[in-house]
Amino acid sequence: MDRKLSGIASIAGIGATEFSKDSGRTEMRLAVEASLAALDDAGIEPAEVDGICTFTMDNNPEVDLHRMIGGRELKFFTRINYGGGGAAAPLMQAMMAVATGAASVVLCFRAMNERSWYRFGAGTPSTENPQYTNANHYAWYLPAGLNTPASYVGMAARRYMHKYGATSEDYGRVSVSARAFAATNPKAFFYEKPITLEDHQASRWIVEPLHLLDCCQESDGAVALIVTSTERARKLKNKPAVIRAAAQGATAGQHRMTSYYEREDLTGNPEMSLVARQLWDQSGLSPRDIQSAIIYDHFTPFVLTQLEEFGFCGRGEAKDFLRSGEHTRTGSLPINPNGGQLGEAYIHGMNGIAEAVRQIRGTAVNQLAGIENMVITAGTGVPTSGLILGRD
Amino acid sequence: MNQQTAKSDEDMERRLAAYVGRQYGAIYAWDRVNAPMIRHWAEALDYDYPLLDPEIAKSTRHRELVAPASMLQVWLMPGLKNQRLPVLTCPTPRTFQDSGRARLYRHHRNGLRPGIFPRPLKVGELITTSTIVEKVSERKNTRLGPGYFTTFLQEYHDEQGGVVGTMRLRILRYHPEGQRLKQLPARPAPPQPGISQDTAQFWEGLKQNKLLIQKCSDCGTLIHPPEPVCRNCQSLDLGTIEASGKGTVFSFVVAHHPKVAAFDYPHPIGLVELDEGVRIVAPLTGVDPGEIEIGMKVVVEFDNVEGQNRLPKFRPS
Repeated sequence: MDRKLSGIASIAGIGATEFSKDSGRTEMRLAVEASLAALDDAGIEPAEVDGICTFTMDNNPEVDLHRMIGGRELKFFTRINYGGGGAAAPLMQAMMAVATGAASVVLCFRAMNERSWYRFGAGTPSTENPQYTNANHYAWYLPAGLNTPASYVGMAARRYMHKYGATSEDYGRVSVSARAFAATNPKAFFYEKPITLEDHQASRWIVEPLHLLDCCQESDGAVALIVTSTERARKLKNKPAVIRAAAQGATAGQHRMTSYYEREDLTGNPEMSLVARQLWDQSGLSPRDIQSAIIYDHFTPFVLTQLEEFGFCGRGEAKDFLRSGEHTRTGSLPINPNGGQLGEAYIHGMNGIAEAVRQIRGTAVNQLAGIENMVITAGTGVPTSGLILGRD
Repeated sequence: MNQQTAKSDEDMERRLAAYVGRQYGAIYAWDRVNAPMIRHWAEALDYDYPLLDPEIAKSTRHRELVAPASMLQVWLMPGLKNQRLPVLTCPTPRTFQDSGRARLYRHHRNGLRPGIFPRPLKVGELITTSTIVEKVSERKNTRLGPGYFTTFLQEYHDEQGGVVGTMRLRILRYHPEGQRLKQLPARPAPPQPGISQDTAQFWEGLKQNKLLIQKCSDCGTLIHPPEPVCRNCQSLDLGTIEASGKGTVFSFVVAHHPKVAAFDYPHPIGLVELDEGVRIVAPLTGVDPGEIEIGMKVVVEFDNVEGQNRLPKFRPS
């Protein structure tokens, strides 16, 4: 495997707004605040930003953000499809842009009022031209009442439980650990609000087999990341978080969030398997080189399948991994030490990437010992992406 | 509600509140307690009242004919011309009558608690009644319309002022503006499918109660959902076969939230593997959500609502 991309670029700056249920200001303003904070954290002048990347469902145009932060020349701008599945992909874009010289300072951002301006989890409208592939796609679910990401994930989660004997309590263990981390993270929405497995079991059904506490929150807020060359990052204010690998994945039988038809079973995330294989190849690392991971936790069931796809445990064994607490603060692979999207905020994976940067710098509120490399994943059930960040 | 109405309602509330605790009446009965009225009343109700037989009456502890307790109100009825004997010690407040402002309010007898009858009435007694307004509720929004629940305590007295019966009535005085709310809106249609040139054959098939599966004319691959090309051999020559409608639950969810008005909740939805080998998402029906299992055999049926696309659903076979 050619490893020429690995290590060339680094995350040099991170910035965020507060995470809330009602920011009280526009998404554009949130994007500006987080971007300026990230540039300040990096110690890079806004005028130097020559690349901007985000992923779909963000409503802020790249050129407006560039203009507002005082940008001069924008040479590279991309927007990755498939919502949260794209979370790590802007970093891949930035890495490639920096490696090829297409851009030198790339701003990656996410800014949404997904709780106060709309209800992100409220279901999918079908208002498009019926001839569009997108409208056609929803025709196979919405008329049946299968209308939310929770319901799409639930179909796969049920099958996973059936095949491997995982239980709702196993899913709950993901939430309990996330909320335990969030409880000691003052920036988390659920700061000082831990839950028990009993709380999880008693929470109302959203879509069986998913309880309310299997579903991440909806948040208002923004996160921005600054990518530049590792060479430059070494001279800046903060220690670089080196991009060891970044990859995207979509595989055979891929549909948007309902790849129900051509695949033998629904008990894995083959697109994440593809991402994982590329990350290991690019970085030359393996699961034993990873001390902590940010595993995308929009819904708990896919945390189990992702652990398996990365080889952190065997196929069907994630339930045992969770039962023995390997994912918790004291386990062998603590995951989502910021509290995850279940506990900190749902900024579509971007807040998790920022947490990995802090862990690698050694400045996280729930700082873990001996962090060298972290795996970070993006939204699952959809075409997805992932990263490995490491210490310089 | 316009401002004027709001003001009137406020006025109404104030006036109603002022009556609480006061006693109104007394109203006098037209006639003294008498045997012919007891007999007519019993006949009208097809009630074989044993004490109308003097022999039986004599054998009771009363030793004579007494009026049935349930006749108490009858003695005070205004009669066919809706008139009272013009001997009122105090008029019933007009607020409670169907006149003036109150005409906007209709009555609904909300509750009549069993009366208390300390003693039976003997022939020859003259009864009066008076009413105490015990309680007026705050304004309530009811299914009939906004209004007030008023609780009345009615007391019935003999000529010496002794209490011969009490009854509590609760009456809802409501504004009929809410009446139309009684008619539930027709259930909205489920979200309708977006239909394109690539998928139309499936929805056309449903109109004839047929579950059509796309089939590649070249390599025979079955494809659902239908697409513009065979993903196996990239042939554009595609046809359909009619599915048997039989299948197996491959997976399922039970939706609780958010609710779509078209469905009853909890709403079970299956990913059904048809016997032909393709999978389809559709509601599950005719089964308790708690009874659904992966592997359950199901068969298709078709929702048929005028003016809507026909949709498939599956029930246990």
